[in-house]
Amino acid sequence: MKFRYAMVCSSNQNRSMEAHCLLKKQGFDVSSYGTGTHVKLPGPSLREPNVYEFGTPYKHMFDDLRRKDPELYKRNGILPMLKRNLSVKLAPQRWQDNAADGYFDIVFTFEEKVFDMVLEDLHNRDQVLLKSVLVINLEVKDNHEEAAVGARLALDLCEQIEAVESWEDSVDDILICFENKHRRKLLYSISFY
Amino acid sequence: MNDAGSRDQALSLLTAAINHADLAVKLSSLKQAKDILSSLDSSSAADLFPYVVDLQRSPHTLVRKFLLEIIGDIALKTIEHSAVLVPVLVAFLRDVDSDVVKQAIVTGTHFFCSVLDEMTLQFQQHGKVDQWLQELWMWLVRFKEGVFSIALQPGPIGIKFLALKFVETYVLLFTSDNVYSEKLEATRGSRRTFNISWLSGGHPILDPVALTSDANRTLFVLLDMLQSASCLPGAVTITIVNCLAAIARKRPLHYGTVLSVLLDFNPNFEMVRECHKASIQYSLRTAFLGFLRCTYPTIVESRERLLRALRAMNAGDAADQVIRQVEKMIKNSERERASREIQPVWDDQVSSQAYVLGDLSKKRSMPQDNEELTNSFEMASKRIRSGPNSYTTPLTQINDSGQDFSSVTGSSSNFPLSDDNLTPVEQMIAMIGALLAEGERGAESLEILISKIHPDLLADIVITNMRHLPKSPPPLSMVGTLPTTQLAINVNSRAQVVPPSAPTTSIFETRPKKGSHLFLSSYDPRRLDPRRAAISVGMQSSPVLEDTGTGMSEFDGSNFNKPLSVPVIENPLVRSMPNIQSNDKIIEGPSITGVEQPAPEGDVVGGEEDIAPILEVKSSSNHEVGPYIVDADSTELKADAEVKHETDESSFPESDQTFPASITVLSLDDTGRDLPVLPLYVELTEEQKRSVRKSTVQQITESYLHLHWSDCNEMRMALLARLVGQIDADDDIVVMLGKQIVVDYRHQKGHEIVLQVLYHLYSLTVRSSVDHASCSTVLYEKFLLEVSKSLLDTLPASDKSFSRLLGEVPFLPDSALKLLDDLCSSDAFDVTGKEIRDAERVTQGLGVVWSLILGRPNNRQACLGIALKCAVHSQDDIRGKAIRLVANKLYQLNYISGEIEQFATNMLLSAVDQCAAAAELLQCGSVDERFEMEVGSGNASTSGSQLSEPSASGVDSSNTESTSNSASVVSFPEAQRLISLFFALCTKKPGLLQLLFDIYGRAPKIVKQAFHRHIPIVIRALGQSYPQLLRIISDPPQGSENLLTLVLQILTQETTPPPDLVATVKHLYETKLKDAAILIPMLSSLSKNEVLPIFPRLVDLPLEKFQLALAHILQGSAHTGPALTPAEVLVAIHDIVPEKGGPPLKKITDACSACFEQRTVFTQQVLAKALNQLVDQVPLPLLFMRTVIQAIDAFPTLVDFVMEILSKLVSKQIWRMPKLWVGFLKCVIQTQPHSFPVLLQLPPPQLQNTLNKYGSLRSSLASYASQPNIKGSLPRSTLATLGLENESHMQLQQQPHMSNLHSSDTSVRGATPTMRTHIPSSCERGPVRYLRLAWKTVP
Repeated sequence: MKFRYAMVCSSNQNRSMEAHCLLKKQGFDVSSYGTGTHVKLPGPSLREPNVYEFGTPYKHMFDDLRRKDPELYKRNGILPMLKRNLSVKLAPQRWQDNAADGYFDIVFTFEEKVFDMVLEDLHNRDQVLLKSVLVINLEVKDNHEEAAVGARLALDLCEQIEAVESWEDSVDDILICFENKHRRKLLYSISFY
Repeated sequence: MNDAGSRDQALSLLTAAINHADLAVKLSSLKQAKDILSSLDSSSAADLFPYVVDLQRSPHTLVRKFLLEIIGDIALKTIEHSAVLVPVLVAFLRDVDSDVVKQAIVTGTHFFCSVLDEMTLQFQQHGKVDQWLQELWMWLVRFKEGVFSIALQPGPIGIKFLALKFVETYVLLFTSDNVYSEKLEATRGSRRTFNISWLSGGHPILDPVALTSDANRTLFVLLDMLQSASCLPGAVTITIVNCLAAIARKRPLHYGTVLSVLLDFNPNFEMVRECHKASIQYSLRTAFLGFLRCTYPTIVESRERLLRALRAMNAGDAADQVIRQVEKMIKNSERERASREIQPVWDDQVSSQAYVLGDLSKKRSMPQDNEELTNSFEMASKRIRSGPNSYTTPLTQINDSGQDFSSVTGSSSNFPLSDDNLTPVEQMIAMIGALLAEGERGAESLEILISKIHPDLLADIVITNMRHLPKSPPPLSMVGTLPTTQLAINVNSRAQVVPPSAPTTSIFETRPKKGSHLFLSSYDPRRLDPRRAAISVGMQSSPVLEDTGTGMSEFDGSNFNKPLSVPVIENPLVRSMPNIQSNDKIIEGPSITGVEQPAPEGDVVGGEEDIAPILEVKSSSNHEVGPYIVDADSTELKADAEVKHETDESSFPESDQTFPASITVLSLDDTGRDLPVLPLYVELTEEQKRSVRKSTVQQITESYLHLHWSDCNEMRMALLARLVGQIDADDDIVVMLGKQIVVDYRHQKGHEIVLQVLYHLYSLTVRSSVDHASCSTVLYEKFLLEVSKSLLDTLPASDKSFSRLLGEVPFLPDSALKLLDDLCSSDAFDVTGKEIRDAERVTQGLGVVWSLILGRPNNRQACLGIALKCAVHSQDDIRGKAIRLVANKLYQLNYISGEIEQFATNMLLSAVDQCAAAAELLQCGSVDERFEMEVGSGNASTSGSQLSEPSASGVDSSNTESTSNSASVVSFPEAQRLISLFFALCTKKPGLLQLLFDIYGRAPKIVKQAFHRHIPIVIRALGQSYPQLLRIISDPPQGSENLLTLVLQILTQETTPPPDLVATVKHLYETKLKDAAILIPMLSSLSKNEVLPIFPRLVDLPLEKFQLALAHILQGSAHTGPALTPAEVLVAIHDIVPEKGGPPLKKITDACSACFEQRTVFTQQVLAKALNQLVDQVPLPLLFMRTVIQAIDAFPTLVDFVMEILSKLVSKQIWRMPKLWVGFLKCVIQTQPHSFPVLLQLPPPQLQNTLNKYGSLRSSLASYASQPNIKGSLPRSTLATLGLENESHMQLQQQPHMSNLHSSDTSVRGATPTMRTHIPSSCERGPVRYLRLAWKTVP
């Protein structure tokens, strides 16, 4: 595996973690992040989400929600998800605060808004390393089923990127080919560290 | 370890690295060597550099890469000794391995910045720069050139990225930046960022002017690359866009240039190679969004353009969001910045004025100059320049245009051809004609002139000129002899062909130039839009300026090497130089001083001389700017013009099939050659004319489509618009055109084209005579309708194009509103007769209605009518959607809220007063309409007539219509239909509730039901303690009691009623409304002392209400607990004395029974407790015995407890209370044999009395009493009463079972007829049950 990958969604819970988990299992060097200001999980109603700070351990959230309403959070898949997450890493991390984690070669985002935020954030950083980074957006709906599909697609794409000699030369081809194969729209951009 | 030691060690390691065969050994030695090298002091390390450099010939990529890392690491520390190392960087730029090249670029870039810093620092500190640094710099310049060539030439893309990044860095480094530097410095952390402004005071090596110009040139290289993006890989294009965006964001100076290139950039080019188009498009979007985030004035001024571009990319929402964010940010910092704000803005204006050279100041003094205007070329050309120059100062530009106007009119008196009666277009044509008359001398001026004309104006010129074509065939002749007006079109192409040779007089150039500005403001048909009236002129100016900007570069390109090309000075280099000056006042570069002080009175010669040297500097950069624009634009233009020219004049009567060939074949060169000779003129029949016309337009549109609409510059759109304006109203060409545009509406600039056409048609209707106007009106309407329908047919309901179209067209005809109405509320049928309306379309239609109400005051009434009509639509989903719109959005708008309220009230009243409505219906007599309603074909027949006067009658007519509906169909759904809107409004304005209560009383039953259905939603939305609601509750109108009760129920559901509500209801109960039922919902919050006084009244209520009340009382509130415990309830019930005007006995017994039904609440213990309390009361409650019997019946295990009670009663001489005595006996009978001890306690007379009454009791009692242990304790008199003195017990003991059973049966069925009235039927089987149980328990 040549590259370092980052998976980014808004809360670093579902989509990015699903992909993180899958890629990690496949032996990729992968991290995951969220771009939101807080980590938001569904609550008893749409208006009462459970809000946590980034950095709050998944375990803590798990215990918290299990205490609040085990039935509900089991049924809507939040508890199983958190359980999965805590087996992957300690706590959700925020993209905007990840400067210390070094550079990534490939960044996957799963939502256009997140894509925009990652690009804007990279633009605002001090680009002294002169290390190019490929940011790819794969639109994935924020539910468990779609996240699973999205993670597999991301894995597929990563494998293709790994397979070529230089992604810079073939990124267009890979993406167009992928779009035709999976009938999914992709977006990419290039930024620097 | 001393220095020498470690030096030797490093040397041996390096040798190993060079000579050892094994790569691993090489690398590890290198690593150690690197550590040692970095620990050495710089001079000893430098001794080793030659060995390090030797590594560059290593065949191993990894070694070479590592070498670069060492260089990056060490060279920066020992910068004065690194002259040996830098050549390696340059050499490695041509390495075969791309990783090495990448690393070389990275290291080199860092090195580049460091050396730059060092050079500046040295100069600032010592006033000179060391030799070694100069040498280094020479190498770095070579490095820069190497990287640039990588960026430009094809090669591995990964390297290209870095090269482009370096290019970006380079431009940033050498572009002055006084606005932004603080931020950059903050982000770059410890290292100070080099700023070109540091190079003041004549740096010996670094010439700021040259560097800045180089940076500018580099930027144009980047821009140029973007223009040729079609042959670049997508990733490179994206990187270029990103780099440009970064430059524009960080250096506002370049923002304008970059923005206009990005706006013009069209990624939809025919793909030469595979590239990911969507991503390229998105990179533009990202760039524009990024611009929106910036807050400096130049960028903020272009916000409108950015928004337009973003909306065209369907990124309007994202853009709005960014703007909101930014505005929030600005607002937050506004207060603290308020005082400082004014200063920078002012500064900026000053600087931008300064950086348009002396021109602007010259231009500003123009009016005064007018008198002494000498028609000198220099003066004029300078004035031409001033236009595009001032694009950074639109405000002054606008102001100036007024002055320019005076200057134009002033000088036009010198112009022989000018005529005050001519329209601007005709003036222009005349002017062009005059230029032509000058022959080749005028050609160049003409070209300049045409390149400056705004597309709209130019299009008008073309069209007007066509109109001037002679009716009879012109004589076949040479150009020169043709009337000048006819030639105007050809001139454009001729200007390209004929090389200009002589300088022209200037007045022509001056005037058209200024004229075009002037016309623009009066010409843009969009000005006619009433909505734009309020918008400041500043906004309008932006497209104008943009155009002149491009025009300028064309101008430069075509002229730059001609003798009279002083305007070339207009190139970026010069533009930025003065800026540097104004930014940094200390610098006084010798080459610039001259430029900066041109005499305001036109020291023309001197000025030109000063400028000349600089001209040489940047002449090379012209290559990048000019040519491509010129080619693209002018050839398109000519081609278009030719097509039209050709077709109108053409004498081919053939049909469509042969026609295209003649057009497409006409290339530029052909026309240039052929034009002088006009083809034969053939008279066409009307039929032929039409078909030719049609095929022409078709040709044009098709060829446009082929070119991609998005390629359309404004010129082409303007031309098309005018072309459509020429079409006859009855032609179906518009229909075809509309359809064709819509085919690829979203990706191409369909919206812009349609708007352009519509605005033009509209301007025709406004301007032209009555006759022509009606024709244009028809055309307008036809085209708009066609496009609208096609949009609806082809695009999904979620698409915003339709809404945008209706929102932005100049005028909405009735037919368009009818279309909208159909979309929202009427059933529409497609060609096959299938019903095509779906929910999403309705949503879409209502969305459009909403935006029109907001954005089009003139159509507000009509749109409101549509919305309201939908709000009482018979279909639930339509109605629901419309009501949400009306209540949540429209009702908030104060200019229509009154109307909405009135309408809703009318509907409500019509539902309530059905009789009145029925009468109205009779008057109307609209039988047909009613029939249609019933059939379900909707409102189609009515809408037409309504919409003919949309502004006045929209609301009213739908009003009457719906009233008639209500009369014709009286049903629950109908009632709901009419009242839902009003209820929805109530949630927004609680004051309306009063009306509901007022009319509730007289509403028919069905309507009341509908009320009941709706009121919970309203009340829940309002919450408990709404003052209005409380006021209504405190004084409910007559007849609204049921509604009131319902409301109270809803208010208290699942919550504790707040104190003010409780107080209000209590007050109401005490004063006005004596119905205790209204108190029920409050009971849970009342205390015991409050409940007890009203308890009899509660009992008096109908049974189910009492049960409800009971539940509330027992439930209590969370804080206080229940008002009464169950036992207290029972006691309270028994305390009621039926005689005192209270509830009748029946009610009390019912209440009691109701309690017993709740066995889980009124448990055994509760009953015991209550009975214990009751038995001690004096007098005993009337129903006491009845309750005891019920208790024992409900809980047989209470039997022992009941016996105690009975004993107590005996001691209280129960037989003295006749009513209770009967119950006592009944109870005793029922509970035998347990009651035998109690019976035996009775005094003999009473016992005798009992046995007489219940004869069957005697034998069993006797047998019980005859048991020895009992017999002994009984007084003789009792035994005597039983007749037991001598009897043996043997036989009695044999059959106790049988006899007991028998006796009890008879007691129930025969012997107690009097009790039957008191004991409910459910009790009748009680004794039997009890006895069975009793026998089991008795041993």
